[in-house]
Amino acid sequence: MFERLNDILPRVTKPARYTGGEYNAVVKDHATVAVKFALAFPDTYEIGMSNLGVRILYHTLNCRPDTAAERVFAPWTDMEDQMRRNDIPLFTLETRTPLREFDIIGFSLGYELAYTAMLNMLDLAGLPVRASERGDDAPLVIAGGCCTVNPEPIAEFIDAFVVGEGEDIVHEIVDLVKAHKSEGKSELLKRLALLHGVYVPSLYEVSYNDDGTVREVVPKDDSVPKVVTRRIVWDLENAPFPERPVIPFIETVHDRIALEIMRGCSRGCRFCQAGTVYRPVRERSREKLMETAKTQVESTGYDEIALTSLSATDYREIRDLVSEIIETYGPEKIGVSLPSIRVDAPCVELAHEIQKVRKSGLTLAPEAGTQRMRDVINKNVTEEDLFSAVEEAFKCGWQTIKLYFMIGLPTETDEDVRGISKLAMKVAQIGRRVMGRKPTVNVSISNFVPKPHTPFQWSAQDTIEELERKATLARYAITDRAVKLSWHEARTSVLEGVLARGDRRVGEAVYLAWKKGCRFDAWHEHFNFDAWLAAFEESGVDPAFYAHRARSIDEVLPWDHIDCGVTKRFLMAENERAQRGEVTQDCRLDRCSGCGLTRLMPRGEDIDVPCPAGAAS
Amino acid sequence: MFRVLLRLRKGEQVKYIAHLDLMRTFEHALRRARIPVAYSEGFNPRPKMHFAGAIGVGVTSDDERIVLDLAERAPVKEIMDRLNGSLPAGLEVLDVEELPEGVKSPLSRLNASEYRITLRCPARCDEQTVRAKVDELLAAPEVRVVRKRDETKEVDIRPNILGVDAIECSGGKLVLTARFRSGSSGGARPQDLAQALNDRLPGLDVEGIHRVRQFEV
Repeated sequence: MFERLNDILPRVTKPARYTGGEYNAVVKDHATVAVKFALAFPDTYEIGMSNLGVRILYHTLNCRPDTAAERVFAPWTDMEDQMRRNDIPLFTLETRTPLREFDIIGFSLGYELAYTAMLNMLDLAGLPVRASERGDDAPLVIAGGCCTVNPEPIAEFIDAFVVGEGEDIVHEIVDLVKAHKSEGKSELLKRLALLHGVYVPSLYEVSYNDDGTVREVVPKDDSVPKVVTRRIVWDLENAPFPERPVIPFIETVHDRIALEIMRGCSRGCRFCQAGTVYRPVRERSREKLMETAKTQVESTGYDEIALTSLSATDYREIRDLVSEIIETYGPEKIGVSLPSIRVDAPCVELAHEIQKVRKSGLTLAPEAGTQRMRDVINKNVTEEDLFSAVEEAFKCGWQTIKLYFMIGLPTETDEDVRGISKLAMKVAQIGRRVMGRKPTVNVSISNFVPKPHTPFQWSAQDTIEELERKATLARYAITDRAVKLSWHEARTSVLEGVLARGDRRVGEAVYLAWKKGCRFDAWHEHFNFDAWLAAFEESGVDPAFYAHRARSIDEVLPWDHIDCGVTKRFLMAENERAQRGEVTQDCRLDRCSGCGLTRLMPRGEDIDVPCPAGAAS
Repeated sequence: MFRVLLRLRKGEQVKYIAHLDLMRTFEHALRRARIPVAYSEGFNPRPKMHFAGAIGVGVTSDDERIVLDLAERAPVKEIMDRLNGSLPAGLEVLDVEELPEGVKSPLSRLNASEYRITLRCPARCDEQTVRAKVDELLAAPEVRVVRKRDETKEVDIRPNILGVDAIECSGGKLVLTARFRSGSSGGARPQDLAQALNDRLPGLDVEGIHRVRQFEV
């Protein structure tokens, strides 16, 4: 079957995507393991290899002597053509084992536009894409990642979802599969459904109201929990972290050591799904991080350590940590990078400090152009914060600054949109004043997509026309040649909006879109919106109903049976505060904002959970 | 400053790595092996590491040559052992020699390569037939082949074929050993010869290309 692989690899772009054999890849003899686990990522090798979640699961699963975890990514279209033409089924990189010979296929879903790629991978594996059509001999197909906080649009394709963090639960799943795989899938699924954090969609019934909204999602029998609660790794300090990550031969998106310094963010930006679904904030100790950095430097050979987290500069000892890393690894020419920095002068100063070893660009995210708009989204950044930050940056020698904004936010007016351009031009003026010549201010505008489990989950998303109008408005309001604007395509954002807040019926549209050839929707060259429109039409799914409709506050949402820890009541209160333009302070700096997460805290266990609300309760 | 010359094997397992990726892979291995390589100055310090003649995707080799500048002296045996303990399977340092101080890098003089090209051929093919076609090709005033990259262009490779030294042919398999002038200013590639030969002897299909050695003409 694979003899032909050598003939087709020379004909595809970047063949090293498909060969495996990378340094630190773990190859196990399948005769010695009880469970074979395929870690599937529904995008290219370069994107998937940059994903920290996949790296963590690969590490922790392969630490088990009874389990072989192997990687598989979505083949690019040229490779797919060759595979289909030569009857080569989708295989894993480590041992070239066809996917259908695995016990478990676990997809990592971080982006809704990857759904069609996931179906395509199942199909390339020779498996029916619908869970109901896969027999007992087919692998168990599971999915995790932040998309699973609303699993409904892909419920019919997946046997079981993992809601929340995977480090612990993945072992419970492997144990179950190991012990019960001979019992048949329906037995196995019933057992899985009882694990905390697992959602087995086939065991739930969805009913609808006459107006098309969801009436209820209920378990088909009493043994299954009514609500699935997100799994949280409370003790991040001792959670598994890759010691010997696989080093890709080809250049990937993030070709560096990823040191996860903390998880979760308590800033409470109202548009941000990660801000709710990764709560609470947990920091790893400096000692632990230095230890991990040492292991990774020795095992990878990378020349950069990225301190990753949703907001790295909120790590309490960030300065000390950065200094210690520079002191230790600077002489070896290993640099540090901070992928996310807060918009203020001290943080820019810190970003400057880390440039002693290696230089990189500077990106700041004010997110909105006016104070009113920033208050609505609870982005606690003032114009003064931004101006002092960029002043510091220009003084430090940066000549180019990148600014991130969003358009299409709830309550947004044209004044708010033009505010983006005005703010960027003021930044350029500061650059001129400080440097005495023209800076470059790159403004990147993305389209707001309302996401489940956020205060804006009830909001209407702007239409494509409206988003395009606003982008044009922002563009024409720029009269300074130092400011360059780039803008994200509106059609993909609206599609993302439909899939993010879809219910189970949207699955049919996903299926039809894939049937019509959609597979790399996030890739401009393969995005086929007409195919999606046809799929919506045929399936009777009205995209406007899902994307552009404001939900009433008492509507049953398709994801109400998934509890992420943050209560619906809190989200409603935040939504109301947003409408009034009232900000809510970061609960790590101020009082507990009552998000509801403390309900999920383990009782009586001796672990230090740095959620101040938790400490107070 | 200390300078060493390394010879690297690129095996089957890693033959699909492109040249730049090979360089990056080697750079990672240098750091894992803690080789005291010297770094360039500037905003983005790079190890002082130079590769001779880029190798193609899908091509294996027994003679990739690398010159390394070291910040401190290290025994050649130790460099070789440490690197071989840090390279992915398929890459192997075959030897390391220290270059005398003040000597110019020997890499720039390398302007030719010998390749072993393995092709599938029609079963009726034999050595005489192939030899005749090869001689005919070499006797031609010019040998034009089409190269497809960003744009399709035709080039004359004849001046850059130094010779076809050995031909083995049996059981539908043809192995040619040939020397080519290489380098950025033109040069010919083994794929070019295969294409040109296929024009005269249809039914050839490249199965493998191996760089035997690099040398100076």
